Amino acid sequence: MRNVPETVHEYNIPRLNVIFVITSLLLLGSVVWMVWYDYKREWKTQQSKAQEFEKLKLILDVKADEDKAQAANIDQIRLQLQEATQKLKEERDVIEKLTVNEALLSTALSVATNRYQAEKSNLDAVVSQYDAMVELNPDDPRISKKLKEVTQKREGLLTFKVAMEAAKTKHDEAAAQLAKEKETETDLDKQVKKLTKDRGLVEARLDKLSDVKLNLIDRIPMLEFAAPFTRIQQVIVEDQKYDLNFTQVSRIDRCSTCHTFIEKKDGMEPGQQGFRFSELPHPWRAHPRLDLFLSPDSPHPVQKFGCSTCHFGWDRGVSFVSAAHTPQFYPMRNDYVYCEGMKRWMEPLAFTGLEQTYQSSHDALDAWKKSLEERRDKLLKEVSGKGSATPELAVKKSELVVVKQDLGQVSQILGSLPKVENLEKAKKERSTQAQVWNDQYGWHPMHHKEDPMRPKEFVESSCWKCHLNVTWIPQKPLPEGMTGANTGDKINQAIRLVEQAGCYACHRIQQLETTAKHKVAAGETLQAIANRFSSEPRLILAANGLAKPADLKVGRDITVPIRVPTDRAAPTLTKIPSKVTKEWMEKWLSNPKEFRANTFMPQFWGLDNNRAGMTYLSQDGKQTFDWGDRNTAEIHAITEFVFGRAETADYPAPPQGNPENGQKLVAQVGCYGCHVEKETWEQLPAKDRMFRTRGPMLSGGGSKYSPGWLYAWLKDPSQYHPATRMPNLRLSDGDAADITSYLLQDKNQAFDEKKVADVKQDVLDDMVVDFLQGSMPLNEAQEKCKAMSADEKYQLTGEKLVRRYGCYSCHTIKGLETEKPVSIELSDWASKKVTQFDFGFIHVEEKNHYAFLHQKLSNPRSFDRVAAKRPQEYLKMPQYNFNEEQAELIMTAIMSLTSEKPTAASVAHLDDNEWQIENGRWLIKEMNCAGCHTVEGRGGAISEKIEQPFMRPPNLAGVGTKVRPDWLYHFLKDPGEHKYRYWLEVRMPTFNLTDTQRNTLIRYFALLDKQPYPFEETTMDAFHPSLALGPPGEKLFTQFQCLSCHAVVTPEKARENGKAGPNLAMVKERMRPDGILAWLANPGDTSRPNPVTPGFGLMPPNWPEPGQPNPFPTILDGNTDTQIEAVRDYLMEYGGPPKATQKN
Amino acid sequence: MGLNINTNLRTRRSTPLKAIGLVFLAVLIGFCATYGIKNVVNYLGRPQISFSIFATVFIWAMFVRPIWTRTGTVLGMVGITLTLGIMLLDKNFAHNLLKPDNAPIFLMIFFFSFFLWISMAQAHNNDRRMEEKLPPEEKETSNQKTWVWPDLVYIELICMIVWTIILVVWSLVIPAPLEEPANPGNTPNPSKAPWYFLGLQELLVYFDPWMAGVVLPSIIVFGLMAIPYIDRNEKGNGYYCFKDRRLAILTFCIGFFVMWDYMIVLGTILRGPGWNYFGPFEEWNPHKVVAANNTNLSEFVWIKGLYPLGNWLNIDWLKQGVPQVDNVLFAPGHFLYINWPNIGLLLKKEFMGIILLGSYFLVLPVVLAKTKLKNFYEQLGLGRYSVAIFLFLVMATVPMKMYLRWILALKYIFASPWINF
Repeated sequence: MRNVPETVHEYNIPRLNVIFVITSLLLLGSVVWMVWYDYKREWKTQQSKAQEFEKLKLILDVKADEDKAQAANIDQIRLQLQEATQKLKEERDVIEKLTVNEALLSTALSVATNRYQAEKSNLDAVVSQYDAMVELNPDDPRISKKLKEVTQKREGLLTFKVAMEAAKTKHDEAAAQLAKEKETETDLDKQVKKLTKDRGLVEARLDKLSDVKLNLIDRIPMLEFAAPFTRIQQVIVEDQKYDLNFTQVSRIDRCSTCHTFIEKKDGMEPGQQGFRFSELPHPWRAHPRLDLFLSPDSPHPVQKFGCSTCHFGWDRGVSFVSAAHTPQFYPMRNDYVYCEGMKRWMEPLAFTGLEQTYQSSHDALDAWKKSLEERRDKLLKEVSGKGSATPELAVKKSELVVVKQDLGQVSQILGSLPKVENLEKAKKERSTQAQVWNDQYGWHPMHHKEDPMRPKEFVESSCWKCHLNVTWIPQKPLPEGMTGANTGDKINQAIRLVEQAGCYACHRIQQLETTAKHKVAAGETLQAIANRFSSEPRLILAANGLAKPADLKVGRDITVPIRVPTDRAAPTLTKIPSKVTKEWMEKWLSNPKEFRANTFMPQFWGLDNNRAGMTYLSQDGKQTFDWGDRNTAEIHAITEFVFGRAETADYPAPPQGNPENGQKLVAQVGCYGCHVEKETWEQLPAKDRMFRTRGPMLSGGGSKYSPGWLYAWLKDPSQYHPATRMPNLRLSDGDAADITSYLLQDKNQAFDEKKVADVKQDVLDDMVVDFLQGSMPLNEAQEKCKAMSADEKYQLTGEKLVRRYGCYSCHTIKGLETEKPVSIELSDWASKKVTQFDFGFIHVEEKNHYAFLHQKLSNPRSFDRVAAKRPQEYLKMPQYNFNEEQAELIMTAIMSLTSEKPTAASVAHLDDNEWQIENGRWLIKEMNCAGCHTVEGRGGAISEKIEQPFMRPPNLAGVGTKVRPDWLYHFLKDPGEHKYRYWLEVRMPTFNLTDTQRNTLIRYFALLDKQPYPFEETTMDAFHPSLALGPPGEKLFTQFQCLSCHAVVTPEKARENGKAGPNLAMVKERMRPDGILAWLANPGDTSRPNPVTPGFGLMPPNWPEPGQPNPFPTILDGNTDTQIEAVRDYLMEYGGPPKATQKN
Repeated sequence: MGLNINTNLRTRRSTPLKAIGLVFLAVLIGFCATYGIKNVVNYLGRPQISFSIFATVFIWAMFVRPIWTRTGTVLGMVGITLTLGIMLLDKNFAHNLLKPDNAPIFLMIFFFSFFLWISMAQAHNNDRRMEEKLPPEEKETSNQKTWVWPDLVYIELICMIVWTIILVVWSLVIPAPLEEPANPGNTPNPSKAPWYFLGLQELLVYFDPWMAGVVLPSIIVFGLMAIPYIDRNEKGNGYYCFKDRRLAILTFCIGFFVMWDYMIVLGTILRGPGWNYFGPFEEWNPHKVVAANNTNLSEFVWIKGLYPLGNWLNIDWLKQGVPQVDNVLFAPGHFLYINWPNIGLLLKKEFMGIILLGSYFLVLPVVLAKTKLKNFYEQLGLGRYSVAIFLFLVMATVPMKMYLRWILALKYIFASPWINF
């Protein structure tokens, strides 16, 4: 037998029991924690808060409603009902008593009547016995006895009668009273019924209210699994996809899970009191521009565009952090404030809204609270005074309960809203958005999200993703009651700044290029294609790699470049020696802003990686050079190279001019449409100073230009540079000489005094070796260098440097015209990974696109600080000295450049006409027409310099309606020959336009005014003037005294008169017949139908509005239409005004 | 638990060892004072140094009893905690270590230390008992019986509850991060395997992907499966001991702790963007560039060895440089005809690697069987011996290859267009 050992307990079982209990409790605890964790998820909390807001809205709506009056009266009604019911009951008691009484009386009456009737029949019987006795025997002795009996009976009957009558009276009285009481009862009954009905109605409404009162049972954790009171909301945006390289994924935007009311409209008039979704704090606030975004009738409905298409971020994220919110980049621009009412930090915008408009919700609630408090106090007083329990008191007590309940609710809601009183105190504390978010939501950047949300200030960068190929992204004015910048302003300014600064010259930006696809049809010439797309034949050939027009085969798919800049971003350098001196150029290159404060010519030398004082090792490693010396050498080499490549033209010295007259002329002829003077520029608001005016600032000319060149340039700019945008102002020799002398008067003293340092020979040699080494070994390079002459060295290094810095990207330099842009393409820069950016030794708080761009734009070379690099390895982007506003704009533009391409369905489709309008808009921008004219409501800044309205360049609205296309063509070709506003001092210059460009403009004006195109001059063919209308037309012409304005001849006279009108002798060649009708009918009174916008606003509406009496009822029967036609026919066909007075 | 560990072990500290220790300490303090503690730690963390230190200290600790005591454990745990705690004060270290994915690494460090201690403590305890001619501690209770219910089932239930609590709390406190859909065009940098595979990923630094990713892991799996058939040592069954199973325990511990676990920690904490080494206190800069000038053994032989030799002896044949092998295994157009000239070239190019590997895997086992491992060979027999020695040798290639890489920048001992070693 084996020895079986005793079986023992390994553990202390009671202790295990204890451990088991403890662990089980802990397990329970962890499960509870888990449930609570789920229950308190961020979006659930946000949604339950949203439900409270919904309740608040309903309460306020009910109050605002007419029903709300009744809702407030419910207790009144209840009281009345109770009183009425009580009375009815009392009445019924009375009626009951009266009814009994009446019944008794009625019995008594019938008894008395019976008795009387009985007695009466007895009497009648006795009388009949007497009569019979008298008939039988008149002397019968019983007769007297009988008579006595009759008398007795009669007397007795009288008593009964009285009794009966008394009973009747009594009864009648009782019956009347009963009837009356019954009537009262009926009234009371009706009243009660009505009150009951009222109570029913109001209570039904109140029930509706209590429905939204939060049902606590629904919200019990765990139970709400069965019927959740909150739900994740999402929009699947089929059209908007993001690119995962090998697949496209539709966006699933869950933003509205927390942004509950994002697409709810307030549905209220501005200024109306009440609850507004647009004034709620985040995240419940409605989108500020529902007229533009999200709502179904806006251009960007949420079903089609979603949220993350514009805002980016993680579309599926349902927590603040995982949605990849991104705080504002400019930390100093936030004023984050702590709101005691909400117990949280809030955005300044929430408070702005609070101050201005949240107030209305507050006011409504405050007023309600006050009225409730008054009622409560009154009731308390009434209740406390009385001891005995009357029905009235009971009603009041119950009312008090209701009032107290309401008061509690209102106070609670009021407490949950931000309080205005705390604002001032709270505003003193500041914090950045990132800190606020971190405190509030535990926010941290989501590094693995590829496209985190765009910070608020850069949100407009998304517009340019879809709104390509347009000159201006559509801007819509803010809805009434809103303040701030228009949506779209920023991105438009941003693109404009990128164009002006010439970013696209060094960095290709495909978004700025517009091309059309075209299949060559049979018989279609190159010129025809060019005309169709407003392009140029040579550009079409170049873009498709074709040598000659014959290479354009039928059926071939070609790319047609359109809206191509007519000139490079900066002046040509091909003839530079005739314009400036080498010395000037060297000084200019060393720091261009020193010479001209608003220039976009950047600074290349003396920056963070090549400042004087910084050193570098020579190529052979034996010497240390100073960067200052190298800069001098580089500048000198580039100057020598550029001058060496340029051709020289000799311009003779200009005739002596009069500077004072020159100054006057500069102001008169319209130079300020494109140029600005230093003094004026310095007074401009910072916002406007960001942008360059079209041409250079008119300052320091004396330090820069060769007089002969300037004179020749002013007279005809295109002889110096055929592609220039500077138009010809048709200046006479004398005027040109005057302006030249005026412009040369201004000198930049400090600049002139600057000295150009000498180039150190060893530094130059080292530089030569540096560049030669690229193609040969060091010792060979050194030997070759020794053999070179100084000029050879300059030419070699100059070319290498021009290529390195990419001078040719902006300037035309002979031999380098076809070089590719010098720097990286930016077309999808915003989609680059953050890890692709080398921050060098720059420490930023958070490495992201914005930090890199900001640093790059404000100090491009700073990444090289203390870097161990060879001179040619250094960063070369120059310093533009962008200020913060400019940097922000350029950042906005560059953050638009994503690789994400919108689907065809979501891009605004331009039809043929819209394309043509865009072509025109682009040309108008390119030629800076808006520098002088107001075009589509933009521009016309020169007007500030010209006092009298009629001396300003005209507003170009309505040109398509009024003006004949063939005239416009000739006018654009030679404005001097076709001048019809003969009193104007400011000149329409002769622009260097091609036929295609002129036609583009004509088509643009026509399409803008919805006039038919193409013009075949059908208008004139269809014009058949009536001979009969000539004389009445002349009569009217005289009556209206047209010549009082239209006959003014000279500027002086016009100024004296204070008005002037165009040359009427040119009406026939200039105006469209229909256009005249429209113009005469209503020149620009917008309150009347079909106004034609006026050029100056001086032409009075001569004819009255339709329906008003005609001033000349005798002429043509006072028919306004016929009268207008008569004047038109008179002007165009039958005489017109005497021409002698008209010619200038 | 029946753990009875003698805490009053005598300490054997020789004076020279003490002196060396003190000198090291002094040098370390000197470096810290000169370069800053963080820089010194960053430097010492480099795989070649930290691996050597860890391996040395670990193997040394295996043979020294005093640290496998209660005090030793407490001190060790406190030490690990304190070190980690102090290191976490550094922004970069905290940023890299406190990622939700790294929670298991923390657990691993503590659990493995704990279980190693518990087994080693018991093993040493039994060793001591056996020295004193006592039976192992487990023997004393081996005849006892205990109840399935409640003793066994109850404690298992409690364990289940505790682990459920831990998992629930863990998932609440460190929720799994929701990331965006995988984008093949944008691989994260560093691109890391799940934490338990980071050791294998680290092997990719030293081996051909085929070796590191397929062959070595397969050998590990099959090797583990082969253990019961190879290990015929009946000692140690049912009780902990060290002396009786020195080889088995050492092999396991070095394979598991020094190589597998150390490399997981290395891959987690010390490998950053580009799989470059980053010290614990270094910022993970994706632009960090590390010189990678690894060369194959054939280049050592043909360029650094035979070329100067040829120059010296003036033999042109030696000066031909590395023979160029193309990757055409079969003769062009003929699937069945092997491109023998190419194979010949390969053999010529890699002759040194072939000799080395051949002698390592084929000659060395025979030599060992005749000399050093004679007993071992006789115990196991030819079949078992062959398998066992193969597994040992393969395992040994890992640290060998690592050191060859660190010291000589050696890329592959044998390099061909198809497979490298």
